[in-house]
Amino acid sequence: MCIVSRFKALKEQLSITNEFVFKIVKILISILIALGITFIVLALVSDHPLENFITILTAPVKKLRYFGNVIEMMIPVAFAGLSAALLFKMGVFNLFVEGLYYICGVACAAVAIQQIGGGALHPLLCILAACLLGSVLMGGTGFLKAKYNTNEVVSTLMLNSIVLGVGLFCLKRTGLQDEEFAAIASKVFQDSAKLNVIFGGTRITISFIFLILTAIFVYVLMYRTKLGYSIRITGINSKFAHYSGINVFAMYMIVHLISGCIAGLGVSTELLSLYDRFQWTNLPGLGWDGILMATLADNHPVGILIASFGIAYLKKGAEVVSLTTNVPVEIISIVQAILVLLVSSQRFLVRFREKKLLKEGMKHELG
Amino acid sequence: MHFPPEYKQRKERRLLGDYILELNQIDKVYGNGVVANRDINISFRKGEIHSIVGENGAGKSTLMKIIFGIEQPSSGTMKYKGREVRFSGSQEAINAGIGMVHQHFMLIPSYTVADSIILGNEPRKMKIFTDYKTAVKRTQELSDQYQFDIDVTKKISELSVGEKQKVEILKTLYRNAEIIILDEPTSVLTPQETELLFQQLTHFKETGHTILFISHKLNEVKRISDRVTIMRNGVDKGTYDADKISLDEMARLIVGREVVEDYSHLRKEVSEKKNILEVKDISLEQNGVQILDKVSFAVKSGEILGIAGVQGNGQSELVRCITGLIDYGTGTTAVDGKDITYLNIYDKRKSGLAYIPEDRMEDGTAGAASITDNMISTFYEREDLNKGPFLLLNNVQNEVEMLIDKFSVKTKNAKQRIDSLSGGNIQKVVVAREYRTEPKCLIAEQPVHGIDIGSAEFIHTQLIELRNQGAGILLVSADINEVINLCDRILVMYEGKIAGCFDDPSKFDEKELGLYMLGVKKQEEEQGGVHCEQV
Ligand SMILES: Nc1ncnc2c1ncn2[C@@H]1O[C@H](COP(=O)(O)OP(=O)(O)OP(=O)(O)O)[C@@H](O)[C@H]1O
Ligand SMILES: [Mg+2]
Repeated sequence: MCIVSRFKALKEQLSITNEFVFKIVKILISILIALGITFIVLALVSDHPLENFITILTAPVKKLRYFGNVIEMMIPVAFAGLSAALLFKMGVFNLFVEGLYYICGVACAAVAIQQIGGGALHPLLCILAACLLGSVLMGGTGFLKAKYNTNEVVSTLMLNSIVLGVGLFCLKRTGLQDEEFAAIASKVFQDSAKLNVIFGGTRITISFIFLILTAIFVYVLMYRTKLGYSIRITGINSKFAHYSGINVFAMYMIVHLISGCIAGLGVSTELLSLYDRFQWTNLPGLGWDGILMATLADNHPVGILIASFGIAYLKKGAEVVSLTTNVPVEIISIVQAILVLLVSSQRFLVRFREKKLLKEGMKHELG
Repeated sequence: MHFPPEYKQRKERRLLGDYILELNQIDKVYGNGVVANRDINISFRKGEIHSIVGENGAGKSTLMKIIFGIEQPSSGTMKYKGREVRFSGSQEAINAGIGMVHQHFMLIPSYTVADSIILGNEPRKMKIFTDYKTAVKRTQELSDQYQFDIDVTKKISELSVGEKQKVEILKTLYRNAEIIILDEPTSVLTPQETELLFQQLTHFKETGHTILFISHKLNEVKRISDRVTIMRNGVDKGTYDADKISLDEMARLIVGREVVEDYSHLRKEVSEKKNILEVKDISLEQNGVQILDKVSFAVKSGEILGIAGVQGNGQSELVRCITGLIDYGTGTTAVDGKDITYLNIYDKRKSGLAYIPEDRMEDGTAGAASITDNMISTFYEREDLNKGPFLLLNNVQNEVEMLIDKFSVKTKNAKQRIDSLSGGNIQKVVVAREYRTEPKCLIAEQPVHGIDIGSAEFIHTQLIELRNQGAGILLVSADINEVINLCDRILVMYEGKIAGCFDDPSKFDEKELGLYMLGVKKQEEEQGGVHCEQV
């Protein structure tokens, strides 16, 4: 009783709204549900579900290297999530981030294999190339959307396959291919292009800092700036934005350009941190994962960081388990899919919340 | 035959209690914690016209939505034809014989009028195919019967608000429901159109239908209804026989004070008279129809110019041409001497133009955004609200709270989604926002559409205040009384032209205006048209 009243007093002091508490509760419950589902899936495939479950939860924090892996896995997915979330917030269901991860990766590789010289210049140029191409291509889809109101789902799905073809062609035919290498792969990246590790014992590079900065940038842009305000309004009702004097076309273009740039940044830092050469022969799937994270987080930048960290954590845990047992890593994909289904149906907490508010509302009004 | 006395009594009670719909202790709490209805007990008799009145946010629409099954009561029960029912969706209510005209339209923009009316009840060809020809014929007949004058092959997206309202009404009447709920059907109709609707409602009543009617126009309410229930702050404050309650009494029960509609004493002469809005030769052709034909007029500073006319005579299009929402008309517009014809909306607004649009849900607000976001959309770039690229959220919040307070928007806080407000309160946000841009020229289309009498009085006073400060206001309204009460001059539009121009407020006459609106009378070019252009 005492604790409850203290909590209430604290709440009032900090002027925390019920809505906010519900948000926190929602996140906590989502995590619990994620764990619950993981356990259930484990129980179905494993002989020692409890044991494995504990390993999944504890393994990533047991070794610094493992924890480093979690962060490494999280980074490109979160970048893709941020890129997609901007567009989703605008009401544009653009799926091009997946394709961009491929084609911008090729662009990045094309610069990374050149001899350019040391210092920060080389990686900067690689990243710039990827960002620029990302912006231009995404801007193109934005133009089509804003000018001709094309159906972005269909067109970007198609574009994804097209840029894969174009990317492969570039790899093979424009001198990027390493002739001494049997499979399709670019030449080796120059050492000068690679990003340096910033946390010893892991492979985490400055890309992690970039990610945090990008998330802050997206948050501030969307919720704190004039530009973000007009973007949000345009996303919700473009007719209203037009009536208010907002340049709807410009808003669409700006958002697409930024989104493409973030995708380019995501893939280039990924390549320059973890890879020696570009050898994807298929779409990497990181974009799709990012899209799922954006959905899970309801397009909120902080949520995207949390979600991609959480999923990466479970994945790493499962990976460790799969080393010693017959439990496959893919169970995490199942968990991920179920979560997305749950969240996008978005009803799973509303009932509870309404009931609570109902009681409160009655009390408040009558009391 | 002899009946025992108890039987007779019982029979009488049954007759008296011949209620088609009974609401028992209905409570409704919305997901955000707002209590919209509390302990509502109303019984509706079969074959009556029963009005529900109350201030904005009193919970009228909520209650109607509960009856129609689109909102669920938090507690309480509903008896329909003596049996307890609970509709879990509107389809169940429709099947049970209940129809509803919503306050905010529920129409599909890409459908034609005919499609919309027959939706869910299509005439069939060979049992499967919709017989579109029959549908067009039938719906056109229906529309003509009410003299609604709508082309049923038009698309919904091409209609004005008034026309959409008519489609909503036809849609519900077409289904011939036993209980017909009409949530503010007349707020954008002209008196003539309202009259025809009322004739039909009376006819329905006589054939045993029950009608639930919501309106903020109390004289209408008193005229049409048998009984009136007054709601206040979610609670029902009693049901009265319409012929036993006076208009003043009703107003007092709703607003808690007297309401005046005569503003003449507030008007002040403005010394400097110049043309604030100058419109020259605006013409517009759509699908080969001349919608506007060389319309020219000027609004002076310190003047409210009213445009009256039956809807669909080009008023909406005229306003859309001036404000730049459609940009394919010809002619020129100037604000305060500056030509704004070819400017984009941003620069038009910068030049001092503000606009209260007739369709608050489509153009006037972004439904899923917060009240705050909706309140500042036309002036968020104002200096005191920004620093560099950043919005100063505290200043924004203060500004918004000030406006919420000033225009008495009923809400829990400014963070709520705007579409969780009641219709009238949404309208108040739109008015507050446009008012706050401190315009030189305000174009106000149906500014008090759906607003209760108390707040309407306040908004009218604000408009006159603006006028006294030297702004020019163009008022477009279907409500002839509003135009007469507020304006310094009145133009009447008929078939895309200015049919008449009236200069002297003391000589405004509803009957006379009506004749011009219907095209029976017309001022000649030398008198009317030319006269209106000049200062
Ligand atoms: N979907 C919703 N979610 C949350 N609150 C709502 C919702 N709809 C209405 N409300 C709240 O319920 C209250 C009653 O609203 P309602 O629409 O029933 O009023 P009303 O009497 O129809 O008013 P008006 O005359 O303005 O149309 C208001 O305070 C409103 O803010
Ligand atoms: Mg209402």
